[in-house]
Amino acid sequence: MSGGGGKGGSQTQKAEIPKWVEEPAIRNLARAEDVQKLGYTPYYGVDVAGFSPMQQQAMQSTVNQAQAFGLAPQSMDAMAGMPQTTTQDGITGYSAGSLYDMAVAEAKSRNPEMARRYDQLFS
Amino acid sequence: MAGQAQGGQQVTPNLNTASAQALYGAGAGTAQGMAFQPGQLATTNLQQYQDPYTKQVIDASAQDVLRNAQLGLNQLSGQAQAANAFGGSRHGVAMGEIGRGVAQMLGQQSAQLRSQGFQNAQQQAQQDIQNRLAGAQFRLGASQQMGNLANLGFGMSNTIQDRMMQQGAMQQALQQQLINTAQQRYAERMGLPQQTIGYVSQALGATPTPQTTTTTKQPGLFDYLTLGATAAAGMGMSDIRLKHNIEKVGTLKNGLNIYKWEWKDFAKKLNLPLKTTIGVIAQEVQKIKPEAVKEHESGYLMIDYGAL
Repeated sequence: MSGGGGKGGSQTQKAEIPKWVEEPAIRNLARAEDVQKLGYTPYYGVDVAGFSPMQQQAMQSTVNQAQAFGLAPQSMDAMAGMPQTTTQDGITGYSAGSLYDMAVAEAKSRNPEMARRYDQLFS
Repeated sequence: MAGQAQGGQQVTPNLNTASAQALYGAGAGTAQGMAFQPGQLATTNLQQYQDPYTKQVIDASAQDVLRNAQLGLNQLSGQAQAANAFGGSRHGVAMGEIGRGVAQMLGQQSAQLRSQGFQNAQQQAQQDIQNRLAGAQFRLGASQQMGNLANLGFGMSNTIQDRMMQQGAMQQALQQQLINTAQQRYAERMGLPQQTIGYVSQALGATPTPQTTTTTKQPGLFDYLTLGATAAAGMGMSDIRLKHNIEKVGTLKNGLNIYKWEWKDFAKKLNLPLKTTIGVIAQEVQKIKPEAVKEHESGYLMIDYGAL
């Protein structure tokens, strides 16, 4: 809708949207509001593929080589110090899910007010 | 580097261990070779190389000489008896000459045999030194070969490990690809509601949407002034048959509608007084104020704006 006029006069324009367009548009807006409330849905599956058995064996062979030449202790394990892997449907790897949860909890602990406001956006 | 039997089973040798052992063995062998002293002839005890039967040989040779000397003496005594000169001075001189010769021969023969024995011992000692030197060189060569084998084994081990690492990396990459695909599908699923909102918006945007536009104009002072100016200019063509794209823009107080329009192309060619593109339509004015409408010589209607 627009309006305007010259000296002493005026002109008004009114655009009317048909019902068959207006109704789905309104429904779509309502759906958008519902979607807006969904919030973040993190992925908790495997994120990074772990080393394959062949890779692990190659690493262990390197350790064995070092041990044979006196360059590593006999007790050394090639995979020592690596995080625990998880296996899902035959895929062995690492998930960042728990790290993510810890990061969120830490952020909430450090700034509860900010976290409350954030969560409120999706409640 | 053959496999070792362990519990009745053949165990595959560990290449790394074998290489390391070969390297250490080569190092030890080389160190031994470097420290090897072959020995010198001058400081060698030749007694151990002497013929233990030298004395018997000398004694036997002396016996032979003495036996021959005895034969010579017997012959000399026989000749002296035959000449009735046995026991004479000439016989004594001859016997003395034989004795001197025998003594000289015995001395020479003994010295010669002892010299031969010494030379023989020297040669044997020299050969022994050569043999030890050759053995040391052989061991050095074996150590070098062992070092080469250690290097070869180390290289083979590295190559195998590299290949295993490469193939393992391919397997890992394949698994990572599966993970990435799963993540992508998860993200697609989670993003689907948001995406479907877009579908409706896109569909509405792509569909031609008819809009009803209502335009309302209230004529103002400016409009009347315009009309006045036109009227002052005199008669003007206003026949609806000459106009197109006619659009209502307002209404005068006397009920006459005000329009804007465009002149049709043929009208422009008729050399008519087409003075304005806003105003009234002659056919409408005819019904309310017919005195303001005149007919042009062309047959089309004109308006006398001064009479409105």
